[in-house]
Order: sequence, then C-alpha cells, then structure tokens
Amino acid sequence: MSAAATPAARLTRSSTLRLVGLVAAVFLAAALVIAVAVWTTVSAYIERRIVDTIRTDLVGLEEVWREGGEAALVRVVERRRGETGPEGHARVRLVVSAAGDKIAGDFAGWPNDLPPTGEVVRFRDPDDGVSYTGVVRRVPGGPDLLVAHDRAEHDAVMKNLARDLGLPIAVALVVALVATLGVGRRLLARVERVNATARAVEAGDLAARVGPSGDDEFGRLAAHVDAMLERIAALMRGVHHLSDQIAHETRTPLARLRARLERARREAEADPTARGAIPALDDAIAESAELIAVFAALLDIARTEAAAGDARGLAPVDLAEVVADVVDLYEGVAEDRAVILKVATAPAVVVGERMLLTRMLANLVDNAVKFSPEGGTIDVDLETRGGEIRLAVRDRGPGLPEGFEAAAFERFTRAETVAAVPGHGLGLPLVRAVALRHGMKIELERADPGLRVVIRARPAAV
Amino acid sequence: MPMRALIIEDDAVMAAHVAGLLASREFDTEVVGDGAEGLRAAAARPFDLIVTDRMLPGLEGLDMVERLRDLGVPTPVMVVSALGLAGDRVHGLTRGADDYLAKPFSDDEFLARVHALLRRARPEPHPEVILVGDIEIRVKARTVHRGGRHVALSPKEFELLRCLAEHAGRFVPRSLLLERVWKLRFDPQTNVVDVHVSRLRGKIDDGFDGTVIRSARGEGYMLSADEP
Repeated sequence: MSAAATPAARLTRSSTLRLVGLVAAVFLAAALVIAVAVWTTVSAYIERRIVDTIRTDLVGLEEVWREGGEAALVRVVERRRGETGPEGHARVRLVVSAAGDKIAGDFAGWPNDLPPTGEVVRFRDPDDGVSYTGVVRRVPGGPDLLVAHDRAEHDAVMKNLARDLGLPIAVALVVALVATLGVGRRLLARVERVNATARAVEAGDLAARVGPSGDDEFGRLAAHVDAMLERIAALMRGVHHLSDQIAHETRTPLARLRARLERARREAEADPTARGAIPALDDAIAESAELIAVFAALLDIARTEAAAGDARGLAPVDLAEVVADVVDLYEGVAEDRAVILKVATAPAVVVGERMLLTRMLANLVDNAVKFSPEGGTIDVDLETRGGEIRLAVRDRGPGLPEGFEAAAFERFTRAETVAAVPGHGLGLPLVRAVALRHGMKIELERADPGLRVVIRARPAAV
Repeated sequence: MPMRALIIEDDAVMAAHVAGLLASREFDTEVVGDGAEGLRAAAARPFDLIVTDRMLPGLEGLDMVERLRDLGVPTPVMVVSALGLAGDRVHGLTRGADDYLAKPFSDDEFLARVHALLRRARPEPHPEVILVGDIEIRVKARTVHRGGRHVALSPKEFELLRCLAEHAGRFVPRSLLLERVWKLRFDPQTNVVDVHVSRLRGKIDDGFDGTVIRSARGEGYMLSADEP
C-alpha cells in the first residue's frame, strides 16, 4: 500500500497539519489574552504594593518628625540614604522645608516642582534620567516629605513574571501540539484506511473492504463504505448471472435461426427450381451473422465489465508482445491504406488476460487505421515512466467532435462525422470494459490533428 | 467404416442440426440430451468425436469433459456453447476440451473445426510435405514451391497457406485462420485476414492464371486442389 510509502509527504498535504496549525493559533491567542490579563493585574498589584510601601515609609518618617523633630528626621533620612529594594533598585527620600529648601535626602533639589498633594506621582530625575514612582506629603506644621522608588523595581518584578509565565505556556503549547498531532494522525490513519480501500476497488479489487473500525463517525463511515461495496458486488454478481442467462436464452434461438437459414440455403442449392432464393438466403445469413456479432460484442462487454476485480485467469503479460502481435496483424491493412504504423515499445509487464488485452489494442489500432487519412502516421507508444505503464495510440484522423469524449465510451454511440465508416460503436466500449477489468485508466486526448488514446496501467509486481 | 460421433445437446433443434451436419460428412451420430447420460455413453462406447453443449441438465458440459479425461477417455471433444468469451474458451480448453466453438456458429465453421480436430487427433505423424495441385509445401523446411518455382513467403503467410492446405478443398472460416495463424480468439473489426490472404494470393498466383485461393461466401477461404 502506498499509504505508508511517503508519510511525510502525505502529512504536509493532509488535514492533520492544518489541524495542528489551527490548534496552535487558537492556543496562542488564548494564551495571549490570559497573559495580557495576568500582566495588567500583576502590574497594578505590584504598583499598589510599591505605593503602600512608600506610604508606610512616609507615615514612619512623619512619626519620627513628630517625636524627635527635624533633627531626628534628618538623622533617619541620612542614615537610610542609598537604601535599595529587594532587586537592588534605589529607594530615595527627600526632606524639604515648607519654603522649598532641601533639608536632607537623596536629591539635590525638589524634582519637577511636585506639589505636596499626597497623590502618587511619576517623575524622571533630571540629573540621571531614572524614572521614579513616589508620593509627596506635607507634614502638618512641618516640612514636605518625598519618598520614591526606582520604577525599574516594578519592571524587574514584571520581567521575572514574564519568565515564570513564559515557560509553562511554552510547555503547554508543545504538549497541545504533540497531542493534536497524535490525534490527527490517528484520525488520518482511519480515513486513510477508507481511502486505501477505495483505491483498491478503483484498481479493480472489488473484494476490498475497510473492515470493522469502531462505532464513532469514522467507524460508521467505514461501515457505510463497506455496505456500499457489498451492494456493488451483489449488483455485479447479478449482472454476471443475468448476462449468462441472456447468453444462453438468446443465443440458442439465434443459433437455431442461423442453422435453419443454412439448411434452407443447402436445400435451395440442391433444388434447381429454388435457386432464385439463394441471394435472399445469403443476405439473411449475412444479416443474422451481423446480429449475432453485435449481440456477441454486447455480451463480451457486459461480461468483461462484470469480471472487473476478479483476479482469476489473470497472468503476467508483456504489453510489448501484445503490441507486436497487433502490429503484425494490422501492418498489411495499414500498408494497403498507405498508413504508416510507427511503433516504439519497451518491455512492460502487467497482470492481465492476454487475449482481452490484444483485443483491446486491436480495437484501438483498428479505429486508428479506419480514421487515418491516406499517408497518415499512427504512433503506438509503450513506455514505463514514474512507476506507471503508458500505452498510447495516436492517429492523424479527424479526432473527436467537441464534448464527445465521455459519450465515446457508451455503447452504440458514434460521432456523426464518422457515419461513413463502418462499425456499430462497440469498439471503444469494449476497450473501456477491458481497461476496467484490468484496473487500467483510459483517457482520450486531442492531438490536433487526430486523437490519442492513452491507457495507463500499473506494472506487475516483480 | 463410418466414424461415430456423440452429440450431447439438450436443445432438440440444435442437436438435429449438428447431427445433420455430421451425417453429411459420413458420420454415424448418437444424440443424448443430458450431461450425465452423455458421460455414461462416452465412457461405454468408442466414439471418434464428441460434440457437447455446456449448460446441460444432469451434468455441466465441462464437468463432463473433465470426468471423461479423468477416466482416461481420449476422444476429441468439441464444446459448443453460448458462453463464448475468450476467457470461457481458455477455461474450456484447460479443462480438457479440444476445441471450443461459440454459439451461434456457421455450418462451414463447424465442419472446418471438426475436420481440423480429427486431423490433429489422428495418431500418425503429420506429413512432411503437403501437396495441393502444383503447390508443394515443405513443413519442416518452411519452403513453398509452385510448379517447381520457389515462392518466398513471410512466416505468417506460410502459416496461412499451410492452414489452408491442410483443409484443401474445404472452406476455412476466418476465425479458424485467426486462431491458427495469429493465435487470436476474436474477430477484429476490420477484415485484416483478407489483406493477408490477398498478399498471399499475389505471391502464390504470380505468373499463373486465376487464383488458387477462393473466397468462400464472404466468411472464409478455400485452397482448391483442382487448379491445373
């Protein structure tokens, strides 16, 4: 089965990859939404914590002032200069008199003229460009106090958060992708079983079945396909049986008709008074022969079609030998009509029924000769390319009328343009039946001028 | 002594017809309408030829042939059946029949095939030289002379002439020629055989008046011995 041959190539073309891609996209979108929510929440929380710390600090400093006056406050502030937060970021304090003169602290002067509102402010130190979050507070009857923390402290905590959040998200994503891939491949394998069965049936193995496959949607699909194939097989058996019956029931009266006509002719020959009836009897015999031939061809088509998928009676056949036989048969006819048969073959072994394959090619070459203009060339090419056998017969005749390709394989259908050429329109239907019986594909191609009939076959397994 | 033929056929009209045809060729015929009965008759008495249908009451025709071969009865058997697909024929021949003719058939075809069958079944070796009038065919050397003059033929033309010569004076249907010369068991749409025969005529009749190969009623050919 070719399913296992190129799993990688199949995967890229398959729905599994699309599914994995979709899951990844949805997962990433969801993760992004969660991350943004977490980010803003945590960011606001940390900000609040920082502000709380600042306010606590301010309250503490205010108490120091109230209990020990300005000298105690200056002492505390000076002692705590250069103090940092847990990540090593600066925490600064500044004490300024109500008149606006610096009393003690980390800054040279009151930055940015911040008003002592008790609100949270953000500002940049004009000297070194560091951003701060801070609160300015006026101690009733005392100095103004500023406590500020370097904003990098907040950013550092957020960075840690990003690192701590990123890893689990990445791991979850990988797990989700692997799981999707696994599930996808399992589903694909089950669909592939149905596909493989369909391919086998198409190639002629009517006995191929998917087999039991569980009770979910895929299992039911498999069961439906199997039931359908069962039905087709039953219909084929019916056709086979019916055509046997028709063959027997109708051929026998036809045989009698023929026998009686032949006897009547013999009797007419022996009786001088009845000689005048001989031409009419000959005509009747010829007509009955024609009728029998059409009938036989129809039955051959029906039974060949019904035999599709039946491997009995099949053996390795070299198509090159079949081509040689048919060319040998038709060379004379072609030469008489000044038609050139150009043959290019290489050995190409298929599994088949040699007589049917010979008949198929004979029909194609017969058509090509019939429709070739005088001096025209017919190409019969047999080659194996890319693991596929290609047998092509190309003429330089009028080709098929526009849109006639599908109808050409129907019984008794003939293009109006070829009404003058004898035939019943059973040649191509038989060709198709033989192709079907061998699981071969047949195509009609415009060759301008002419028609090219291409038969594609699988080589016999060596 | 006339030859004896057993006809196993459940259709009375066809049975009588086949019997009439064989009687015209000096056969004594015996007709039975049942496969099992046919097997009993064929095993009990010596026949020179058995003609049997396939779909028979009692015993299917090919089953009957197989049983007959198991019993060691070598009588040539011609199966005449409505099941006329190439595959049916191959099937019939592999199960022990000597020839397989699809119904409906022409009288000439039937008789030509009976003739060929009996000729093949004869125990004596096939002749090294076939003489038909002034035509001399050396089978092993694969050479043909007419009136002492060598006639160069292609391999297929030689086979064609040989087959006609083996049935000299008798009608040989196209289907038999296709089968013998080209090993084909179907009738191509175009009469390819006619073209080959006309080429053979051109060579064999070259320098002689008239033709030794006559078309016979549009369905076959006859090589006549009575040419001067």
